[in-house]
Amino acid sequence: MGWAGKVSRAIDLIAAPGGRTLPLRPTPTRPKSNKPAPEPHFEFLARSSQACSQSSLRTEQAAMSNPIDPFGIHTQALALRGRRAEVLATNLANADTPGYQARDLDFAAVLAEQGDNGALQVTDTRHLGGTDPDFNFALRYREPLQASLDNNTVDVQAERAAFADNTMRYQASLTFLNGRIRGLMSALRGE
Amino acid sequence: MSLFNIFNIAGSALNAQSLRLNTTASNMANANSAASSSGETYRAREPVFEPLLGDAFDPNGAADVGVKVTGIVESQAPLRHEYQPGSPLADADGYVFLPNVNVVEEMANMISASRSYQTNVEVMEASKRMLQQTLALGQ
Repeated sequence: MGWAGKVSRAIDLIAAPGGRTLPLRPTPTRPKSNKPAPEPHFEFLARSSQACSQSSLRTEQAAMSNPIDPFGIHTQALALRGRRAEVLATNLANADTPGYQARDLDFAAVLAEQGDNGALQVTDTRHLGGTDPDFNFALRYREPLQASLDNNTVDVQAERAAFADNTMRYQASLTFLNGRIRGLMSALRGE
Repeated sequence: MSLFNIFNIAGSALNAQSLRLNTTASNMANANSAASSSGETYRAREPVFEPLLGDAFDPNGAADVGVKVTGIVESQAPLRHEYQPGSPLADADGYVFLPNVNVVEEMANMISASRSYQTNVEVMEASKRMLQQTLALGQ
């Protein structure tokens, strides 16, 4: 397998919608109020995930040729995995809270949203990718697999599995980053 | 960095679960504390949990999420009324009041609380490892 194949496999691994085995239903639409602008690195993630959904080759080229950001999607993937770990930890913390509705974020939904609406198409390397200003990480409510008397929808086993899955994907991103840094270091040293 | 928030989230859960363990211990310890009137009798206590969400739908928010204990309620189940004429606490008819603690329920509660406590400790461990590996990046 060539280098390009490895990279696209890496992107598949990172962008794979972890925890999608659990059905999710959309959160109720909230009135658009004076919502603050998304954080810069979140916006960056949207742009990068859009690039990934369009063509993994483009991301790969960006990863190879862009001297400012040699790490490709992994920096954004780490941010998203970190955020998802937080959401899952909140679910686990509220495992015994009556009426709590478990939530999760859906990586695939983020990709789809960014591909379809709002996002500007990038057809030239000098274009800046635009993002949907209402981008909100597609936080969804978990569809309960088993009803409970107190309306709590946290399934501790499922949440723990999703948390472990998320942690492994985080570590996968870290491993790829470490390899990239090692490669760059040996290239710089020229030994 | 959102990974640091996990310590607050899991910490709030540890706090809530240890309070739940405390009330369970208190209930079990007082399961047979007799009293001579219904007003003085110990009643089973239970903490009330509430999610602490902040503005979780806001990508910038979720800074203060987790669980909080809004209070401790006393069980409204009827007290036990037993005939113990030998007890110094017995009333004129020889009856004493005993707490409405259900020991089986308390045992189940205790196991549930300690499992939840363990889960949250493991979540903390996992995020600690993730942070350590992130800090060791490129070394």
